Amino acid sequence: MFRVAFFSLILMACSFRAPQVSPVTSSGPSVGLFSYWVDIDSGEHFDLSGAFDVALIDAIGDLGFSGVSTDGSVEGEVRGLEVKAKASLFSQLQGQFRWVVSVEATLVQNSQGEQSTETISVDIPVYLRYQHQGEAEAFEAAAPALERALTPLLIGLR
Amino acid sequence: MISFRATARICAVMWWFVFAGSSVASAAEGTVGGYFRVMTRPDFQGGDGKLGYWNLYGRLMNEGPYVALHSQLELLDQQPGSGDVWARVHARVEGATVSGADSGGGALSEMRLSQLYTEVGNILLPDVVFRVGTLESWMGDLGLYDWRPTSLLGDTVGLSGALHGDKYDLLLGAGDSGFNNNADRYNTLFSGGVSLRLRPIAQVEIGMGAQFRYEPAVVGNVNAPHQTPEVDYTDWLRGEVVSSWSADNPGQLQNFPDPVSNSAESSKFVGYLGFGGLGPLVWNSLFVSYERLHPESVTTEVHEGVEYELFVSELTDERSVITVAEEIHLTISPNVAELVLSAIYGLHIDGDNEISPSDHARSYMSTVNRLQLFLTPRFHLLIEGSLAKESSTNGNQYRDHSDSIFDSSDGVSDSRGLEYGDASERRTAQGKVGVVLNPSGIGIFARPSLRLLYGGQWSSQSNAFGNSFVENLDQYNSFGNVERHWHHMVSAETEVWF
Repeated sequence: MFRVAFFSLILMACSFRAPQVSPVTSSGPSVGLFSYWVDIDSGEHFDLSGAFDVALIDAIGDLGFSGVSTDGSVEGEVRGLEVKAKASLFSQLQGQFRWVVSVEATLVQNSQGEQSTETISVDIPVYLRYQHQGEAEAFEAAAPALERALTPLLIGLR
Repeated sequence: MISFRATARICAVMWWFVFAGSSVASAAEGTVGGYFRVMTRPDFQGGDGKLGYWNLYGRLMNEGPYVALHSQLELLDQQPGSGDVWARVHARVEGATVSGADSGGGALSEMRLSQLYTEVGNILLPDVVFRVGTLESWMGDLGLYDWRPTSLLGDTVGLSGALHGDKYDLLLGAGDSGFNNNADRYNTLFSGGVSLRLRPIAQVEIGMGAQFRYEPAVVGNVNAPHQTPEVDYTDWLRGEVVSSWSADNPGQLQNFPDPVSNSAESSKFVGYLGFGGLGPLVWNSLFVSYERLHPESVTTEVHEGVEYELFVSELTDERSVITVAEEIHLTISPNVAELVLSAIYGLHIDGDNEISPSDHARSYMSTVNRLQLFLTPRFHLLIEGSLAKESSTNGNQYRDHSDSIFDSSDGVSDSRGLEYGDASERRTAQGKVGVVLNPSGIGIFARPSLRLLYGGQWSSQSNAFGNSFVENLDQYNSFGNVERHWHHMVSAETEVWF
């Protein structure tokens, strides 16, 4: 009896399987996206990838625009979003490692020869389970909060 | 009149509020993180709100409320790649009480400023981080136990230097553990330690470390280590050292031997092997530690209305603890289920004591395993089970029955016996099941978590949980005795890292 109940629960878990992260398919006006992270020690720039970049594209897509990654500054775009991020270890705390992902996002819009910019900065705390986990895992863990944090900025897209 | 300790607590709390206030006022300069757990566990069997005695059976439902606030203030920002000097201050206030959730009532007097340190970088040596203040460091932990076998320098306030690279972390630290060792009888206790962690490849980590403590002999200092001569261990356990000496030396109590000054040492060695990122294996952590405990200082006895101090450094200087622990974190199926398997073995050896059971002469082994099924991304099912066996090295230590004997020798009632109860072994099994709301999504260690749990425990010991039962076997005991080996409980609780 118990065994039947147990496997029923597993089947239930499988049937309610969580959705996988998928690319946004919005076909609205494009927003140039230039995102990178800065190594806190060396100052080197690296490409953001994985869940963090997907979160950026999702946040843009949720507002009916389509995010298009660019290789450089978004200055030349009609609409552009430049995202600079860094992650730093805060402390060991009750068995986990607290990191702070600091994000500076600048929305650039060119309209009728005039350029307007708006910038927000946000610190996202994330906890990682293991000490060997570093910046990449911190950015991935911060992705859901980033998507929410960017919404007030992106609401200004026109 | 306010005691020094109370004054220190008040200052700490005031300082904390000033510090925290500045963090809120300027988000660019400081941040506050923290942790808390709070729960309600009404117990219809008369317990104190915990399923079992301690976290050997898993932290879940065996720990009470806890709160920690950790503040970081950026005095000089670390500018990426600039090589400029940076400095930051850390402070942590924590305590095991929340109003209405335990007997402490959430009082600030139960909180402590457990960590305070300044870190600076790029001074004198590039890439070296100097820290002055509290120095606690560890190489991961056993998440299901809330146990950190590789903790080093947790008792030390001093100076450390850390060098971090892509493939290594090196830490050297030294300072004083005197106040943490015995706050009421402070004596300098030099403490130094080193740890090295290597990452030859991304999937493997190897760590090792050691800590040494040395307490010098200081003639004339009542708080320095001493040993009172002519103390028989059995007499000491029974609290009869002075009376025995008096019986052997009638009328000469004024000549009771003076303590002899000596020095004391203790040490700890730790090892760690971690590997993972292989198929379903998220990470495997193996911890090993050996610790030689620091000797005790002094105990007291009252004889004929006079209190005598007995210095016992040589009666308590052969205590050691060996710990081997393992944790395996598995993803059974991505987004469906995760499993954590963990186990611990501990051996406490007391070379001075071969006659009486104690926490320093025992062994234990335990396994705690947790399965979390992700019914939806934010609604999970949690199943946890644990098995544990604790054995006393020096005879009986546990009472299996409500009418078990108290003082005993070889299982026979003996009012002069040094054993306790009628069993030398305690076996415990626990099972917990319930639902979890995880707003932040999937992950067995993802938080915050809101849990509604049922927990059941079976123990070979009667009433093996915190309680207020009357254990007296006196015929005039008005409350009677109850024998119970099963314990059931439900719990509504939340645990948050923020």
